[in-house]
Amino acid sequence: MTLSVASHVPIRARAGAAVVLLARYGIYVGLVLLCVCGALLSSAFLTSTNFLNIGLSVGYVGFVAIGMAFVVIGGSLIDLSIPGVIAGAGIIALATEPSIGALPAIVLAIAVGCFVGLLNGAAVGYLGANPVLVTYSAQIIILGIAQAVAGAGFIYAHGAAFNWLGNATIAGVPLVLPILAACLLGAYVALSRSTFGRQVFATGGGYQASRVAGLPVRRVVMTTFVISGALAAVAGVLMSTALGSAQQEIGIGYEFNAITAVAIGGTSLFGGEGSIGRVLAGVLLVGVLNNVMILAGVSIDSQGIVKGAIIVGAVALDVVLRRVRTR
Amino acid sequence: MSEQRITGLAARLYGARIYGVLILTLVVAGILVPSFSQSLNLENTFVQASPNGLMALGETLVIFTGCIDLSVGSTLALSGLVAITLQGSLGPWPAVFVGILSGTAVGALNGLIVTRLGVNAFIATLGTMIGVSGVAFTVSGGQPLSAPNIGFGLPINNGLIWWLTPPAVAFVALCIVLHVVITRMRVGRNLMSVGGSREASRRAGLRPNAYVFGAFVASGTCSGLAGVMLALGLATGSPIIGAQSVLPVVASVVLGGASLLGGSGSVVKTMAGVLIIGSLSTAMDIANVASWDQDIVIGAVLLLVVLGGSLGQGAKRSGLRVPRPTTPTSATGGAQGTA
Amino acid sequence: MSTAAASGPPVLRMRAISKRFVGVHALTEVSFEARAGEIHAIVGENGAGKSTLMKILSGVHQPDGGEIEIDGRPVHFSGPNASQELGVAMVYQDFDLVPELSVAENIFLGCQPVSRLGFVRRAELRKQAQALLDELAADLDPSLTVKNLSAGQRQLVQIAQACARQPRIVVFDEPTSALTGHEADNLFKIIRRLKGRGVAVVYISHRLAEVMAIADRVTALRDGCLVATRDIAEVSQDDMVHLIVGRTITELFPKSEVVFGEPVLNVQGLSRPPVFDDISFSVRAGEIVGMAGLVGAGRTEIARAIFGLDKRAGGVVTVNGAAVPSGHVDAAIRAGLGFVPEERKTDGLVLDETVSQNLVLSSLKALAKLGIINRGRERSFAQGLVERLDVRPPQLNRQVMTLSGGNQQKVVLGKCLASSPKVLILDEPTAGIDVASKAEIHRLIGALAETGVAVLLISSELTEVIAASDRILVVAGGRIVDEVARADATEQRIIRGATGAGELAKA
Repeated sequence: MTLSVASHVPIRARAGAAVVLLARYGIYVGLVLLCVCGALLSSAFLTSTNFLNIGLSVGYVGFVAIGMAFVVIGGSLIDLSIPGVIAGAGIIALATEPSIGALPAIVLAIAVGCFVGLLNGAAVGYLGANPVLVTYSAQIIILGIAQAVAGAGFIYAHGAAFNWLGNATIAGVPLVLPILAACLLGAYVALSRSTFGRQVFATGGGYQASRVAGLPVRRVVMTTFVISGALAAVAGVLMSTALGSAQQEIGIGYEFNAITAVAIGGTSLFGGEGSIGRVLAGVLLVGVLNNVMILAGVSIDSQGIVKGAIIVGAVALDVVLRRVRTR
Repeated sequence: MSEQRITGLAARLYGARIYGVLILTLVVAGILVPSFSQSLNLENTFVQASPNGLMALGETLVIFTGCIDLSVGSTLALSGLVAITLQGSLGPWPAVFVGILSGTAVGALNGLIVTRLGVNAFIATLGTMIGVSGVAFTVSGGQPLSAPNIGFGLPINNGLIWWLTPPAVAFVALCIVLHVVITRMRVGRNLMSVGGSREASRRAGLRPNAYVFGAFVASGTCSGLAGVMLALGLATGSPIIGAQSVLPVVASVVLGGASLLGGSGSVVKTMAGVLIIGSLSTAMDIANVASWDQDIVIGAVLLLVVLGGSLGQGAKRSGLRVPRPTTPTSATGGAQGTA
Repeated sequence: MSTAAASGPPVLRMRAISKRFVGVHALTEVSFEARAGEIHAIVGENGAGKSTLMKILSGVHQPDGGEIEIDGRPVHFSGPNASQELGVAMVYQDFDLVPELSVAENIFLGCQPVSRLGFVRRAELRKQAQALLDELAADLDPSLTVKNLSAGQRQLVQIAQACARQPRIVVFDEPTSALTGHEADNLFKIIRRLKGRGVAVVYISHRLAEVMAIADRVTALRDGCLVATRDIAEVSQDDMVHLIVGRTITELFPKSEVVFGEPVLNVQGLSRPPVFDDISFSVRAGEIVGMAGLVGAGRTEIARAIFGLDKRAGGVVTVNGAAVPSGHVDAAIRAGLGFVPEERKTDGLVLDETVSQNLVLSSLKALAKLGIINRGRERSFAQGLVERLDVRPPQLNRQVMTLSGGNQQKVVLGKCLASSPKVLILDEPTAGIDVASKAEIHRLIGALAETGVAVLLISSELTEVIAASDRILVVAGGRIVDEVARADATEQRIIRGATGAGELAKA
């Protein structure tokens, strides 16, 4: 049947293919374009120091965004407990390190992050509670507890191990970046290559259908929150060791920065779609954008305007391209 | 039949549970914190809750349409700063007016991005949240701004009705007006139907985008009003003032029972949600409860209500699913399907 | 019935309508007319162009060529509103209403009676809604909330909504697909009443018997072209099938003789009051057991309980003697059960994902080592299923959303077959699927039975159940009220059991 209309298909198909490619790789194109802008604007852009700066500026958000991506792709929209988990993990690690040692303190902090994720996930996955409200409640409660325990002041790092961890570099690269790279790789394998990843995509894309197919949908939803909690805890530990101190407010805003990166990367907030590559691209885009704005001399006060416009513009472009593709 | 009436009554009571929670909160607060029930403190509750309350009313309309507005806090900051900046040159009333209009403008921008560009409301307003905050920082140069007089010289702090000051009156009056509009007027019913089923509304000849746009404009205006009221009351404005208020606002709307999917909820219940959180913090302020302990209490109450709600639904969903109402006993002959 | 006597002048005339989508001729010079007081049916396979034609009539699409006349005057629909104002009303098959609003508010959605200040006159609204429902002889309280209504009641609301605007032309799109027999009868009465009032009714359906029963004329479309328009008195059901697909009805439900083996699926005393109670039956290897009954009789719920999707209150399900636990879908699949659910788009498929991803969904573990999926094996596995089921187009990376209903259903079936089930439960497997795909699905089911799979087939279409089953269980009020061997299966007997007439006779 299609043979009869084959004569005019190739041109359309080629145009269609271009749109598909742009829709699929637009975020990467945008990232490259932004880098070109940066290079043209300032000779300081294309230096390894600058790239390190960009990496460091988005490193912690990177961890959180990976976890957030699992939650979003699994169909649970958002994990707002992140500021609480970051602060809680940092405070726990620094506060317990003098008495139980560095490694156990880190393990404890991450375990607490997992536990918070477990509670969030159980409420959302098993009880069907609204994720926005559950994780927001969790944020308030944890921040409250953190402040009640730590007071309004700072908790400082004492041990040599944490001092080392906070300042360690590998070949001149701060330790946080290789750890992030490892997490990205792990997340990529988990999401794109493993059965669990498939279950996350299927659950987010079609909850009922996944249930009928015999997938453990409730457990999948819960696990995405555990991953998010664990990665936020890792970010919290690394952040507070690097700062040498922790307090209640260190994680504030990270939930929105992470969801911004995920959304800019083109991950559908309705679930069932997305990739770690896109999340990384989204994280980098925000980082490079901030960097370029500084290099371009945009005042700190006005940077938000540009950032907001870029977020809306990027997603609007994505919407338009998708519309063209399905037409 | 009577059984039906009983289940109907039960459903109604279940639907009105938020008022129960509010009364319970007030009673418990009154018992634990005896001075809470004095009129001055009730007034404080209203006054302190009214900026968030105003934002929550606008947010309710947006959530009714199935969208969300994350930019309310930035808009609050911006409109306050606009009013403060202009009150010297334009005089108090025009400054108030333009301040509120700046909120309306943000709402219109949100509405355009969502309806014209087709961007998901969450991301669109996340973008404007950041962008508008940037504008607020630019307007103020990153610093808090202040006006010489509280209320810009307008009689803002006098009780307008009993002890209710203008912000509280605005909150209550707007709540009543919006409730009437939503439940009794065509435009309100249409707004709810757009949220309930966009497709059905479109087929019935409504233009869903017009209602979504309108809801965003209303939300921006409410935030503008809240920001200006706050600026009047404090005689200062700050670019960071609303940064932490988005989530409490959304939380109180959903606490009031509005579904984030749209089409259900009530303006008055949103007010109940606002007042629950407001009276909790006022009562705990009076009792000198530390702010972090307050957070824990409010978070726990929120969590309890949310989990309570989902447990109620869960029983309906996973346990015995209600069978479809048609039963063969009512069939008086007649062919199944065809052949 | 003589068409000339029953109908007046043409209200609607669509002439040489053409519509092209990217590279595809959806409609090629199709002409269609409907007279006042006529019921004009449109039949054709999915993709034949019925829905495109109706979308043009409702103003959703603009035609590329041709013209539309209403009452002899050429009209142009710039959008759904324009078409409504000119008297075209649609009754869609998905019953999309506003769930939180009342019946009355849904009926007058967007045209509520209001006072000068814009307040809805609620007493008036209720009164008008009641009057409209009375006129349709619909027994429905206008103050009920729509979310609590049954499918049939929702449809009544939709029809009332359409009638509220005093339409000249009413289009019904697959109106009976979710209705019980009683509700369908009621619908036919309403449609005839509309006809009596001089409305031109356009009736789209896959169910040819219905078309025979209710229509005055029938227009058949195939591949976007007009095949014929005939008076219903001139055609038989077989003629109609021939017009649609160029095949006869006996070819639609092929049935081969199979020698049955041992009982594979055993259900003993399954119950979950008040939905169903004391359900006991067994299905042997190679046997196709039909399950007939009214919508709402509890068939879907029984199937879901057997498969473990819903918890059971009591009873035992075994496959080859091994018990299938309650509430564990995963375990049911491992025990050898396969389930094709009624709601294909929500329960059967992850619409955003590809054909391949959907096919392997239940077999991920078998394709993975240490939790990592072997993509080569996944590919060949899915490829095998696509070839075996003849999914068209045979592209593994295509989104299932873009497939036709029949091919989507093949993917659902393939997902079940992937775990090599010993028992296959099919809940309305051909609902909303065109005639040709129906035949293909049934050929697949027959082939499976030949390999020794035990099949439980739930269907509301009596033709299908009778033609495809070796034995039929009739369910009414959550109980099995009759068991009919293939040789004894007649429509009357099944209807009698399903509607409870048999029970009454015994009592």
